[in-house]
Amino acid sequence: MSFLSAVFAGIGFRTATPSFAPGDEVTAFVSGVQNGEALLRIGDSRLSVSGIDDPSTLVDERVLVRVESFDETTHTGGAVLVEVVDGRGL
Amino acid sequence: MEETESLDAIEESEPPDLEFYGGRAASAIPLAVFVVWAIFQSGVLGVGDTQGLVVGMLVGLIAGLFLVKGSWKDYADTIFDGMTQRVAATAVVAWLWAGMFANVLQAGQFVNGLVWAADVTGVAGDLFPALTFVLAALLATGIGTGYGTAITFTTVVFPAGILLGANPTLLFAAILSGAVFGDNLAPVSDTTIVSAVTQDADIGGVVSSRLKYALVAAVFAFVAYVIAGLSMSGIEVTGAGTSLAEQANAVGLVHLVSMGVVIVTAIQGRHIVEAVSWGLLTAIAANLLLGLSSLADILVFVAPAETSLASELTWLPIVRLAGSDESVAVGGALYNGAVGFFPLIVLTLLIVAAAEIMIRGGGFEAILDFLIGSVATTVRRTELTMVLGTALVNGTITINTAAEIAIAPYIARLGGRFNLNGYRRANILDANTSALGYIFPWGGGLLAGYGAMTSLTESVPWFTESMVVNPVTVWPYVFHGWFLVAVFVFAAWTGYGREYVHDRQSAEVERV
Repeated sequence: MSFLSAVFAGIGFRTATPSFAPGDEVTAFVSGVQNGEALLRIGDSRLSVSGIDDPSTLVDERVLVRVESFDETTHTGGAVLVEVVDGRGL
Repeated sequence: MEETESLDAIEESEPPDLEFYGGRAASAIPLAVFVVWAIFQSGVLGVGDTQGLVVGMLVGLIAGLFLVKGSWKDYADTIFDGMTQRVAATAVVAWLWAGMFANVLQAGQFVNGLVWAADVTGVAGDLFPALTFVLAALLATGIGTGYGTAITFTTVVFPAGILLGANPTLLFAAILSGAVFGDNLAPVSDTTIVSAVTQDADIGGVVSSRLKYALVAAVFAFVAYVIAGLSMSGIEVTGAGTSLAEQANAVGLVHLVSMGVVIVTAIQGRHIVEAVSWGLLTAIAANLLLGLSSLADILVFVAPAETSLASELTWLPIVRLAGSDESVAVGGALYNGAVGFFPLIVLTLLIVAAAEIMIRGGGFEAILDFLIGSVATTVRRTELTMVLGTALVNGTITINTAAEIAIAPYIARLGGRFNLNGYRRANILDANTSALGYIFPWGGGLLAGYGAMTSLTESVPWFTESMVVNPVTVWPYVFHGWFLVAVFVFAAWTGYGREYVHDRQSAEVERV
C-alpha cells in the first residue's frame, strides 16, 4: 500500500451495520457461538456460519467465509466457512 | 440506533486450564496486585520509578501462586509461556532500536536546531506557546519519547519563552501537548509500539492510519494556543541576560532527515529493525560529518586506568581512561538509549506473563463476558467502552506505557469481537494512553517536565521559585491531549475512521 493510500484509508464515517451480498468472501474474527453455529459480529451486523462441527474452538480465530444470504433490514445473514486463517487470531 | 440483543445466549467458553481458589476472578490477582501497587506508587506517592513497578508485578505473581488449586508447576509454566510470546519479543526489539535512535538524535543537538527555528521566526511571547507546541511535537515525533521531550523542552525552551513574555502555565502546557502528539504518533514511541504490537498491526500502517485523528486534534490545539496566548499575559523577569540564540544551532535540524528516513521507511512497510537502523545510520553519519557530536558521544568505553592494555588503546576515539572519581563503564548514546529501556522490558515480560495467567484462569473471559453481555452490546457502545476504559486506566496508572500494556488485551478482544480491525483498535488504545499521562498533576509526563522545571531554579540564575508552574493549574491547557480524547469520543460515536477487518486487514506485526 502506498504512503498516501495508507494515510487516507478509513477517512470518513463508517456505518455500524455494514452490508454484504451473497457470494461476498469476508474475513472476520469469530465472535462467539449461537444456536450451535459460529457467529461473526461485524459491527452490529451478524453472520451465522453453518456447517462447523465444534464452532466453540473457532472463537477469536480469523476465518474466511462466503456470504450466502443477507437481510438488509435486520442486518443478519448466513455464510459458509471457506478456511481458517491460522496464526492471526485475537 | 437500533439496539441489538446482548450475547447472553452465547454458550460458555471452555473450562479454564488453571483453577484458583475463589473461582475465575482469582486469576486476576497478579494483575490486580500490580494495578493497586502502581496506583499506590505512582498515583498516591508520586514515585515514577518503573523498576519499582517491576517489583510490584513480581509480588503479584507470587501472591497468585498461593491461590492455585492443584500443581503449582502449571502456574509456573504459564509464566514462562506468557513471557515467551512473540508480542513480548517484538516490543523488546522495537524498544531497544528506538531507544538508541532517540539518544543519537539528542546527542546530535536536534533540540538546539529546534531552538534555532524558534529564534529565527522571531515570534513574540503571545504566539510563542503555539510555536512551542509545533516544535515540541516535532521533537517528540522524532525521538518518540514524550517524557524526554517534556524534560528537554522545559529545560531549554521554557526559560527562553518566559523571557519573551509567554504565560508560564500556557507555555508548559504547550510543551506537554507537543509531547502528547509525538508519543501518540512517532513510529519509535514506546506507546505506539505497544499499541501496534498488541493489536497485531504493523507499526507503519498504524502511524499512517493515526494521522487522521492526530492532525485534526493538533489543528484545534494550535488554534487554541494562538487564542489563549493572545489572552494570557506573561510575567515580569528581572536580572535576565540569556536569550534563545545562545542555545540555537541550525545544523541540528539535519535530524529532520533522520526522522524522515525512519517515518518513510516505516510507512513503506519495512521491518522495524531495518527502518530504525537506517535512521540510526543516517543520524550517526550526520552527527559525525557535521560535527554535531563526537564518536565518543555515541559510544565510549571508559576503562580502568591501571589496565595497561587499555592505556595503549586510548588512541581509539571510543576508548578513554576513567578519571579518579569516575566509574568504569560503557557509555554514549547507543548504550544509554538501549539500557534506558531495560526496566520497561522486564516489566513488560512480567505483565504479559500475568495476563497469560488471567487468560488461562478464565478471569479475562469473565470480564469480557460481563462487558459484552451488559455494557458493550453494540459497536458504538463497544468503542466508547474502549475509549473510556483506556482513559480510566491511564488516569489512574500514571506511567502510561505500563497502563497501556495492562489494558491492551481487553481492547484486542472487545474490538475484535465486533471485528474492528487492528489499526482502529491500536488507535483507540494509544490516543488516551498518550493524552492522559500528560494532563493530570499526577501524570508521569507532567511530573517529568515539572522535575526539570524545579531544577531551573538552580541552573538559571534569574529563575526563581515563584516562576515554577504549579502542576495543579496546568490541566485545562494541555489542549492537544483534550482534543485527542474528544476526537476519539466523537469517532466512537459517529464512526469517523472506523474500519472493519474485512475493510482492510492490518499487515502482520513483525513488519513495521
